[in-house]
Amino acid sequence: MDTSVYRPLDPEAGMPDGAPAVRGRALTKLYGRGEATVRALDGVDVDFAAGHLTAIMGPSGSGKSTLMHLLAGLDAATSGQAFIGATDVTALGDTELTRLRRERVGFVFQSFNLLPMFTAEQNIVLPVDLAGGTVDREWFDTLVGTLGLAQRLTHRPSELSGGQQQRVAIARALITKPDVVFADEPTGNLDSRSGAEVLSFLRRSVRELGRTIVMVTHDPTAAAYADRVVLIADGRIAGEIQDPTPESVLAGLDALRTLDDEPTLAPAVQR
Amino acid sequence: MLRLTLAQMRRSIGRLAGAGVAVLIGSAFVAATLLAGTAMTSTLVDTIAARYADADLVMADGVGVDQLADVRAIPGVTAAAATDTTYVELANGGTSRYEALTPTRGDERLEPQTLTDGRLPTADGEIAVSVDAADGLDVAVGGAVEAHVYQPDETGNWVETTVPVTVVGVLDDPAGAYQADAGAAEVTPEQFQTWTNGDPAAWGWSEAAVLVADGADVDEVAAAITEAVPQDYATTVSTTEQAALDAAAAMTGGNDVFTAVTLAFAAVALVVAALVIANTFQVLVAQRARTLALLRCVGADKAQIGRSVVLEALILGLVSSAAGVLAGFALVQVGLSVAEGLDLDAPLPAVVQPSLAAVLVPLVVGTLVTVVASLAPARSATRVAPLAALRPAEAPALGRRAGRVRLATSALLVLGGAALLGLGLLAGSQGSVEVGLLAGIAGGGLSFVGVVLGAVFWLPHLVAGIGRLLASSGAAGRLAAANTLRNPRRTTATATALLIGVTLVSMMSVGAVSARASMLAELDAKYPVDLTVDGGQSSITPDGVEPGKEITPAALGAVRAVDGVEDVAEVATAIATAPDAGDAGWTLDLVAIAPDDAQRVVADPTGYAGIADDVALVAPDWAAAYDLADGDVLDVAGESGTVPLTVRVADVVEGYRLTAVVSPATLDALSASAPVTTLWVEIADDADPLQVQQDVITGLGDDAYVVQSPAAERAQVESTVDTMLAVVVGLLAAAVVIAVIGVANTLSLSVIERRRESATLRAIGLSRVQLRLMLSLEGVLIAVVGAVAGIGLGLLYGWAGAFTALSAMGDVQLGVPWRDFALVLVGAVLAGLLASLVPARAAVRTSPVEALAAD
Repeated sequence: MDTSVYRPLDPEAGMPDGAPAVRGRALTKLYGRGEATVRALDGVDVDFAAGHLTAIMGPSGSGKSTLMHLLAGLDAATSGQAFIGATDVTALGDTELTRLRRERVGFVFQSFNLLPMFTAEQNIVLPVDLAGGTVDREWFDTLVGTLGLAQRLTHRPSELSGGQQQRVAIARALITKPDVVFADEPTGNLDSRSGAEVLSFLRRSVRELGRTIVMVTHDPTAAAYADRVVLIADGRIAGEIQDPTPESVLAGLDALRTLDDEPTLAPAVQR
Repeated sequence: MLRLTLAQMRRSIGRLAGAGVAVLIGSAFVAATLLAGTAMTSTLVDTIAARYADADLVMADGVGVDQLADVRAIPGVTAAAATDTTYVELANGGTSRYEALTPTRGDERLEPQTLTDGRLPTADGEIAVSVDAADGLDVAVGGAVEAHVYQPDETGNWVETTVPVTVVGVLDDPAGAYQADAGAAEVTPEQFQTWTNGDPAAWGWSEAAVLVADGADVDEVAAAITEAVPQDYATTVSTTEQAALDAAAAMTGGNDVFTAVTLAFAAVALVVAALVIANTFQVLVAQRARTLALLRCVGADKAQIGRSVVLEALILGLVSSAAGVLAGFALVQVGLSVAEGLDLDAPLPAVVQPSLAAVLVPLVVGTLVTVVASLAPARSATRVAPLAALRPAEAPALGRRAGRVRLATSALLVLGGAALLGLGLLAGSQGSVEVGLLAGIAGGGLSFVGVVLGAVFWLPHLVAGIGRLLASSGAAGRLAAANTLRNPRRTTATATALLIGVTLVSMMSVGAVSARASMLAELDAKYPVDLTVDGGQSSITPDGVEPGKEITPAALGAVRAVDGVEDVAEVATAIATAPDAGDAGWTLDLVAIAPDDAQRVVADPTGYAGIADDVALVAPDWAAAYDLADGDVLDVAGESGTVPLTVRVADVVEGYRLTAVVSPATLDALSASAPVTTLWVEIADDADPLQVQQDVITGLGDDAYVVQSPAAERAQVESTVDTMLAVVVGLLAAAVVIAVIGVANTLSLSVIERRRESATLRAIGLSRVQLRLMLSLEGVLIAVVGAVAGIGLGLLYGWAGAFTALSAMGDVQLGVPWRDFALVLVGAVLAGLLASLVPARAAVRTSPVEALAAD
């Protein structure tokens, strides 16, 4: 992993091929002050490759959600930098962050967060609406076809199953062709069958539509759908797993637990 | 359970605050009304008592002149004096004024007024006048004025007599005994009797004040006086205080009406407050559904849950009403202090005089309204199933569908009310205004209750319609429109609160505009011009035709010279007959004006375009009454000759009997010596008609000319109508303010409810500005819907009311107060924006991170 001091790329030059879509550099987040200070993130350096589905995994309180918030510009870092493409999101104000979220970032939430008064289609195109743009119909049809929503477009969220709602949410996240989609426990509120369905759709979005997805999860089965798993513990990167299987992810988590017992040793995680 | 209720209240204190303020305003209104009513009554009692000065007893209901002398002889009576009041016209040179007149009391302690100069009159031909009269008539002690009094002549006919009197004193009225008349003049009791009855001893008095000697027992003296009342007298004796209270009670018919009307507006404010409260509690219950379900899970029964909500309302109601009473007191105190600062002559109390009613009534009513408003929410709280605690917390389901009972009730009320309203219209057009108004008010009230009850059925459609307009404005508009419709019941209740106030305001405004238009149309028909100077038309006396007083060249010049007089036309008049017409011939007034002059000075001169020789222009009403049609030929005979005149029906001056407008040449042929008796004056647009009228009167300096100014009258009508409208709208302001608080409250509650959603929107690219805009548009949408519906209803009710009340008067002009409607709409937009300020501030603070938070 590259831990050298990061030199920002020239934003005008565009992204070199195969460059990471999202990067964190020395990201630190402290909560509280004085005695009660909690170090949620402690100098994290991490890259997320474009065109990949990457899972961030770790036990509760490990800092995985905090990492995602900082990378997505939803929360301010205490120190360090987070980049989406060439943009330093830690340096942006609220207006620029809003524009960034609108145009270059998509979100998938654990509890779907669809607007109940809008139909599936209206929900999907909402980000374009908010930006005042026009919907790319071809891309919309592709998304709807890939996610199997063609028959559900006129339904309201209350008329959709959990899995269908989450697929609508994924379509909403992808409609603006964002640089990256952040998914926060996307299967947390779903039964295992719907969960598996949603995860395979996420993977298809990456493989067939060329999108970049960063997914936070604590479920090894979910993580196994990713191309790569980043393990995090106690606010630090604890290792990573390429081409994970549920078994290898479990093994990695077990190693983390061992790590808790022997804090001085770097873990022997499969690379 | 009490502890739990209090804990829940503490948690929702911000959400309850809006409802609390609504109750506060309503109960403050009630308290202030009652306090002001009390202050006015006590002022009146003081004023009446001041008439009796230091008297201990008052004899009322008729006191004989001899009886008064007898009373003075009763042991323990120090003095007794009549205290009657009448009016007299006093004149000095060209100016004259009506003055209150009361007899001198003959004893300093019974004297209600004090001298600032001179002395009290002691003989016939002497008078003491008020400071105001001395100023107005420009007289001082030693000066002379004329009193115009009516007295019977030798044959017993009452005729106006002018009596010269000498001013011997100038009186001040520090106690306000004659405050309504700006002081009273005083003459001796004998003079008073002569002026009012023509005979100093013929009649008695209506009342008298009695001063009891120190040490004498007032009750005993009263008994003695009562004892001595002659057989056929109805004299009553009471203490001064009691007499003043009785007299005030007899007079406060008007005062009670004031209190009743104001309380009716307070009731409207409270109904609106009830809507706001019910809405708030409904939302609170929805938001607490989980907690309530949890309580049910751990063993609370339905009744306990319901009681908890009602208890919460009880506490809220009590606290807010108590605050409202204090606010009401403060308001009236501020009013009194301001009045004192203005140095009005009115002897108003300097400090609020609290009454038990002013404290208890608003307290009880405010609390009751709050509790009653919470009953329906309490019922829905009891319906929360224990199971709800186990379900994942999702946004509360959309409002249940409104019941059939509500639909049926509302339809019944609307239809029944409309039928009554129709009946009222019919009765009004048939001339029975009172029956019509009663039916109209009952019908209007019923149908309005029906419309409000059924608002949930029709108002959401209006929201959807207006929302569609909004939706085309962009994403924020689309979101706002959708948000407003997601909870139709809440939106309906919020908009309805505003609708009530707006309906009443626009109804009043429509009524005012229609009344004004109708009255002005009436004026226009009677008087074609801005101002007329009339020497009096020719009249028929037993001795023959007496010509009207001619307008002299000097008078004409004087009128022309007045500032603000734009143009003057001379009108000659004469009386003529049409001997062959009808059964016994007709008498008609001839009015001659040159065609050019008419075109210049008449406001709407189209009717006068037809002035030509040998033509008689007749107003349509007269034509109808005399069965005249265009082209009829009438042989008209005047002093100088007979001319056949061709009738043309046209919009010309109507006059008081059959009037024909003719050309000057025609009048010459009929009545060569007909004088110019009338001037038609056009007032400049930028001049004040009242001032011009005053200046013309002063300029003429001769009260034989009657100066009438429809323009001045019009200005007066307009200002009266405007003032009344302003008062009514001011009284309705409380209801509107409460409704706006209701809009803000609803938005705040929605913002709290939609925390997660706002965060999601922020996360997917809604900017802070857009979020703010969305909430503003929601507020504006609700407010505009309330305003539009209110304007529509107000227009209907206003027209119905105007037609019912005015159709007996003549043609009703149904007006539309566009300016007022525009103001209401602009106000609604501003109110919506204002109402969204605080909620929007809370909403934009929501971090997008909250969208990610698991429950």
